[in-house]
Amino acid sequence: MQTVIMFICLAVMLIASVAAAMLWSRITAAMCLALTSVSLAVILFILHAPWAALFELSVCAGLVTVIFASTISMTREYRQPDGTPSEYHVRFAPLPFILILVGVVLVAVVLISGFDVNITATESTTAVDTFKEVFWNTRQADILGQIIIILAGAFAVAILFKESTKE
Amino acid sequence: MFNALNSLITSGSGVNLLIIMIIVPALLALITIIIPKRSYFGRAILFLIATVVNLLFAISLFVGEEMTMLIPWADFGINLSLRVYDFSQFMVLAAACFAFLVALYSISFMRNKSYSGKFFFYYLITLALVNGALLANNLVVMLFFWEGLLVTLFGMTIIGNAKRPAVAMKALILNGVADLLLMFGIAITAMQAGTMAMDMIVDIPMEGLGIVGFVCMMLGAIGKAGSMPFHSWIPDAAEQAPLPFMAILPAALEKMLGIYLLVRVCLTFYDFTPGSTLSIVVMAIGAITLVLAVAMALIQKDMKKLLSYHAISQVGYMILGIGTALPVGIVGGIFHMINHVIYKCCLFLTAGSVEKQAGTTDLNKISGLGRFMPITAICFIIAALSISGVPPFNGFFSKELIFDAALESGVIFYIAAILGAFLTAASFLKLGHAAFFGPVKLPEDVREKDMMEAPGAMLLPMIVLAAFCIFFGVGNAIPLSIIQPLLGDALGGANFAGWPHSTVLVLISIGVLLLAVLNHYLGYRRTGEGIKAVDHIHYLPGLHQVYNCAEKHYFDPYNILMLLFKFISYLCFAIDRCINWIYDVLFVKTIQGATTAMKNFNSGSTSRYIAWMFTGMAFVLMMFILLL
Amino acid sequence: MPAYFATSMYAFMGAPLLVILVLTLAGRKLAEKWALTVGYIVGIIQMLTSIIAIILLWQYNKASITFSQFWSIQANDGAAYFSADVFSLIALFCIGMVTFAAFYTAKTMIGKKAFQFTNLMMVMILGMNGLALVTDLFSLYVFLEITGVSSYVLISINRDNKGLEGGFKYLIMSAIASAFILVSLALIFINTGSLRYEDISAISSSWMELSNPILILVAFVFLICGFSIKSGLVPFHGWLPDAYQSAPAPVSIMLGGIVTKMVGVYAIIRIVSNLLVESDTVVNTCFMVLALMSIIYGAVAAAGQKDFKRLLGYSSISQIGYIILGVSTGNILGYIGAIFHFFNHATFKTTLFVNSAAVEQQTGLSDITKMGGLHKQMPITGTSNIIAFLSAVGIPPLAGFWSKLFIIIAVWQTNGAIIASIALVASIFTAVYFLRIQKNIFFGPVNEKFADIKEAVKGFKLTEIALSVITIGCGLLFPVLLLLLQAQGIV
Repeated sequence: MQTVIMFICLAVMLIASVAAAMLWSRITAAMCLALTSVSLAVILFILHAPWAALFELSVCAGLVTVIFASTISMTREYRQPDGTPSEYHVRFAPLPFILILVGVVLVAVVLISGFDVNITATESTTAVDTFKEVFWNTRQADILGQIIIILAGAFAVAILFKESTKE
Repeated sequence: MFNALNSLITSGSGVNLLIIMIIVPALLALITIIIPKRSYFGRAILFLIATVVNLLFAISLFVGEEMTMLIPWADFGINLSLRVYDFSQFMVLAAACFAFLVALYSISFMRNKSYSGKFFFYYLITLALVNGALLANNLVVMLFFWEGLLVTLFGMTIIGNAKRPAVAMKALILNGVADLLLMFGIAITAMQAGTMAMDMIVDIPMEGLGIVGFVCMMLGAIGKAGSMPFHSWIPDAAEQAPLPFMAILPAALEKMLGIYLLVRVCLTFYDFTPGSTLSIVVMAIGAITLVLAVAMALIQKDMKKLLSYHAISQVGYMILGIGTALPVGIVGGIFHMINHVIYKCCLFLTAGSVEKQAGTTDLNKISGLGRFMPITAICFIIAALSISGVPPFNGFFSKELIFDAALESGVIFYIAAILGAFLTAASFLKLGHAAFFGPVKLPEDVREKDMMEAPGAMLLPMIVLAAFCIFFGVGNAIPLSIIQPLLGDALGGANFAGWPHSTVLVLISIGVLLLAVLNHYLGYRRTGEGIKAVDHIHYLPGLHQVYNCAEKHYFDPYNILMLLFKFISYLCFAIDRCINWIYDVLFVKTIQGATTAMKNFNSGSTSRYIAWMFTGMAFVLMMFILLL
Repeated sequence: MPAYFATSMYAFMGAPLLVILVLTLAGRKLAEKWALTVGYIVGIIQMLTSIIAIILLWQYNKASITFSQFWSIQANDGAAYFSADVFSLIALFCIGMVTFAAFYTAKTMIGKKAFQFTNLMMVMILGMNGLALVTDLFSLYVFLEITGVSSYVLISINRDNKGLEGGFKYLIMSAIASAFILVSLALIFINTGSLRYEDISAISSSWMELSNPILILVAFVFLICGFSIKSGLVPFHGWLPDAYQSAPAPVSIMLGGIVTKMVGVYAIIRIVSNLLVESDTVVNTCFMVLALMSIIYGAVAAAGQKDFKRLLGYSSISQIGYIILGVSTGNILGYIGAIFHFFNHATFKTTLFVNSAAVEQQTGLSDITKMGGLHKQMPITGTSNIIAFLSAVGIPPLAGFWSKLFIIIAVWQTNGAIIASIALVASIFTAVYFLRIQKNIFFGPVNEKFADIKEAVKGFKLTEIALSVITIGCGLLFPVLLLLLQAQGIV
């Protein structure tokens, strides 16, 4: 049962990410990105990593989508110099499918060769406090890093997009 | 008295007379050049005193016994080692005598010339160097002095001709090449003998490397003496250099040095046997020099050039004599050397006095000077008779010894020698007739009533030398008594003094001389002029073309050498151009092509970059798979 | 170990954060005025702190100092501390030096955007400092990303077409690289259960006997490719010349001077030295081949370039090739050579970029075929250029000579004479393109258009002189250092 759900989620992930890259409407693309994160969170949950799923959901599906939406609102659609809409996405349409195909082939090869994927899932820690403690104590660098990256993102948006609304 | 002088000098503070003989002339040379130009008299007197002092020292050496001096110097057996023994005593004395006589002559000759100071300076330095070379007992020391003579040679040749140093360069290069060969030969000799001390080197066998050493040293020695193929600078120098220089250096000192070394090499250093291949080689060189040089001398129209060609030719006699390796030949060679120096010096001095009085020595311009310069003419006649080999002058006796040796070694050498004698006599008949006898002819700027005999200071040396010609001829026992002991045991107890042993040879020689007179007379009758008396030989078909080529210096070894150098330098230049092309053209084009290709790679399109990236990834993967 | 030592290390991570805080709170006007000054003060502080830290480390004879930032953490199994050893401190010094150079010369070129510029630069510095101080591969990745993000934006800070395009290219390629690195980290994590430096060496030896060697193989491949893209090794280098060319001057000083090296080369050195226990491995060979290709490609391509900054980009490819070549030998001499060359490259490349900024500011161009004879008007720039490129070519007694010598000797010892000779010959190519720049820009006949330009402003002069002094000084003092190291038995 769980395997089936996992595969469905994988498929959703694939389709949603391709759509995010290919769709012309920016808002819809951001939504598809959020959908990708959601299906990944489900997979993580099934793999007994609830905290990972939690963070994935809150950060990617939540925070990031909000940032995307606000940034997209500061932009306008790209038009070619003569006014017609861009043609890139038509030209490069086959590319994602080719990549997916290549990935499928590689996986098939690996599976057929009898490769035994032995994945040992780490034990999830039980108590919340212990987790928080561990997290706070062991992953200090990463926490600092996260804070800084958010700062970076904020500054980036401010620099690249803020002025345009003023003009 | 000289013994006293000798002991006086040697007893004081251990300084050796030998080293004084080298240092004193050099010091006096420096002082001479410091004395200001205005005082010509002062300079001249100092110069003369220097040569007198040298002569005195030489005499004291001569009467003394063997003496050596050794100052250790550097490794490999290079020591400042001087030695005087019978041969070098004799040579040093002879050199000092000639130096004195020519110095006396040149004081007068140089009276109005601007370069007199330089001349005196170089002269005395040359004297010091010659003393050093004769007294040296260590090969390297001798080489040092030998090479030093190159400098003074160059200096003396370039005096007054600084703007056209071509002749000086030629002299330098020819002598330099000879010296290089000598250096090489010395190296091999030292290696073969194991020592650099000349009195220790005895009888090196002539095989393999020894032959190379012998040949090199021999060539070096005869090159210094002025034989072919190192000869071509002497006639050119005769035209340009001051005449006393010609009298002392190519005629006297260089010959002495060259033959001195040649004798030592053939006699003591190497095991030189009669009839060996090398003996024939040496004799051949001598014979060729002899004949060719005198043939060239025959056609010359300038007195000095003619005399210089004769100097070259007489060296050929000496080499021929020594090359026979027979006692009679070696004695003859050494004796001929001394005789030659005497009469050649005298001849040059007469030419000098002609030049001083008439302004030129070109035979086309002057004639019949005997009227004005009788003493000069008589000296000339005596010297000319000596060189032609007329008894009882000294040339006759030494030439007979050489003829004897040549005949014993091979008929062809004898014939060459006789031919040389014939041509020598003919050319001197021509010269004497043209210069001193016949109708009077003078160059335009000289008036008849101004022509007179040369000054006394110039006449005295000439007379002395002419007297020696007679003396050494008639009383040839005296010089021979000095020369003969030099051979030591090789002499075999023979005594060559007095009249020559073989009457047949004498008759042949006299016959040749008469033939020469006849030839001259016929030529004179034909052309009416003394100077043209040998033109029939000159313009013989076959010989005419050869003479033309020779006059144009086609056969001049120096010119051939220069052509070779030009060719080599051209080749080097071409190679250099090639290398330049590689650097300037090939590399640049290659790199430019490469960078253009690379510029096209990075065209700016992201997808291309990503394509490259995936290629790279595949490459890395492949490497992994291959290397595992 | 004195307590202040650990506290002083806060300066690295703390100072930039403090600056951001202060500037944001100070208000727009004040911030605009003081932003750049504060920036280069941070650079100076960083340089000083790193030097003091090195001296203290040496005095107390410790290999590294481990500390925790801002809040203390109890020693636990698997804790990720910050840690600084000598290599990190050298890297930190370089970061400080280049920061100083970039800020000190930025005044005339940034203009109105000083506030935003400084903020982003502080973030980038934070990222690089963190990169130097972490002990865990995942944290490395995090800080790598921070640096990357800030550099994308910095390149396009002027929002001109050129900058945006260059930044975008860099973004795409970097994103792919990050993806690769993440995949390889995941695969390594599967096998070792921890990503700390001391733990990952478990897989290096005898990984073929592990249960799933193909995973490790794939991990290595992705690792090599990812970091090669980041550092700009051939054939993963496509973004580098474009990014360098299109960035504004102070940003290209940072990029060329330190960023590419930190995210690429520093990370490779850390990973390779911790991951690989034996020296003769496939990974090393791979890196060696890539490095050789980079050296030659970079040098030859640079010879034909017309644009100064693009040429410097290719030159960077070549020099980074040298550093990686040193690393790939696996022996201690190679590492020392690589680290020293890292430092030298920071110095001379920064000088060169500062010079290019000065020239661009005065003449308005960066096309070298149009310039000429600037040496008369800009003597200091010209001279510092000469010193920088002499160091790059590897001419004694400048510093570049020593580092290149070590690298080549190390290569000779481990890989044979042919490869060492190739590297040596490529040095000549280095000289080729540098001489070309020198001749085209500074020597040669003066172009009339530029007959009346003046020497660059004061900021440039001081920076150039300081960097040249460091180059010469290190070159002259290095033998002393070598003797010290020998006395300690390290060399």
